[in-house]
Amino acid sequence: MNNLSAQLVRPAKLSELPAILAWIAECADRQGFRTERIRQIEVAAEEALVNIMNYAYPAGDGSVEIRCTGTGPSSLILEFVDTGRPFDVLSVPDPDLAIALEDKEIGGLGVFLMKQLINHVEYRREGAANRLTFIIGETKHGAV
Amino acid sequence: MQIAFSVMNDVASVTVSGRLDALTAAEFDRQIAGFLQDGTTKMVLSCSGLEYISSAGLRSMLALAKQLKARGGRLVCAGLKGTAREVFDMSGFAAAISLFETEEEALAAFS
Repeated sequence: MNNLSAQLVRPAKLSELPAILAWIAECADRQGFRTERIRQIEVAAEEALVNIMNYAYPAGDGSVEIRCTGTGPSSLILEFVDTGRPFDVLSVPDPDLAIALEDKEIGGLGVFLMKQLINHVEYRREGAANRLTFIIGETKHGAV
Repeated sequence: MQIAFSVMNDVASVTVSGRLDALTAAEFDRQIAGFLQDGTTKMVLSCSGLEYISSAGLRSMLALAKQLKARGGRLVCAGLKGTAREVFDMSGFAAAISLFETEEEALAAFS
């Protein structure tokens, strides 16, 4: 197959979310991922994007760059780059899933889902940028 | 995201379909707040048409479950499937929100 290599830069605003997720879904579709796996990728991508949209640029506007690099059938690297304040989304602790309804706080749920759904997630601060990398295989289990 | 509402006896039935993401969850919350003004305490959320739910959507569901419980009521969910079901299961919410295959079974939980 011809591996995809594509980039998208959009304003880091919540209103951009549907279009960005649709673009990511299209990239995953082109790399041969099946529908349910594409939805899992979108759920994880939404977490990455919403964190950037809500927290990266407290002073005002900024943008987010998304890169899709195909590395084989049902094999993809997805990167989210922003030039906002330093934030390692992987440092957010997992929620306590076992506690009673009354006590449930939902902080960390999104990041937890991201880590469950994506084979390997890495964060790096590079100069003035945050780079979050998803390494994505055919199913959420196993090495890619 | 589409949402429809009906009441049978004293059980509210809310059918949600499409995508429940960070954007549409806010609209879901708004509409639910409107439905709840009549004092509803028992609710079935029918989710067979729900194709996608993210943590934002799950937060909305949990907030709704908490609200109803605080009123002495309960939220149950029917027909959740696919990735939406999988994400719900990962979140550990099944302890708080019972899942049923069909709306009939979900309604029966209240009788």
